[in-house]
Amino acid sequence: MNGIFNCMKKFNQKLLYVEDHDAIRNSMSRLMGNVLFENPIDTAENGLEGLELFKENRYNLIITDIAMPKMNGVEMSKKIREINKDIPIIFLTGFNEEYINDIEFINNSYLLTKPLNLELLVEKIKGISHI
Amino acid sequence: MKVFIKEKISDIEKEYNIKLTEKTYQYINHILNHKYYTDEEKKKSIMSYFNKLEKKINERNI
Repeated sequence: MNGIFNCMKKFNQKLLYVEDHDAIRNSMSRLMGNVLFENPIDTAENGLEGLELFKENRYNLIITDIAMPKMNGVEMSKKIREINKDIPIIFLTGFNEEYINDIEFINNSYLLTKPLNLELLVEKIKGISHI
Repeated sequence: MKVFIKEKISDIEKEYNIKLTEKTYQYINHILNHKYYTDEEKKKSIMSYFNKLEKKINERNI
């Protein structure tokens, strides 16, 4: 699977990736780090941790799960919007998401469905970055 | 089902004078592509999405 990304120039965004499932977070961050992003990827296991990392670091892209303990991805994004009005946020959705409707009103946010398809993610980031 | 969805989106956009984003279309397509939902379950899930969406729009308009 990595082969199709071999000739692609990696993205230079600094990514914050928020996902509560350990196995998914670890495998996806490793995969995205290997094939898509130049910079190391920061990860958080819930919205609260994601928000704290956001306050302490500079990012230019966020990819987040929606349903998470402590603070969900939508609440985290609303709080991030109070600090930063423009950073692109990509939500990853499953089915029957309780907070899915709020996403409609979060500006400069995008939706991708689970399981995350890296080719679609690449297209989305290119669209966001106008590449 | 697709006609129903198109009409529902059009109704919401007209009633609330808004333009729904790509995110709504993506989520609805996601439900439509569900491998194991029956048509009835898909419709129920999509109706639930629209009902909650209208509730959110109303809350924002207050």
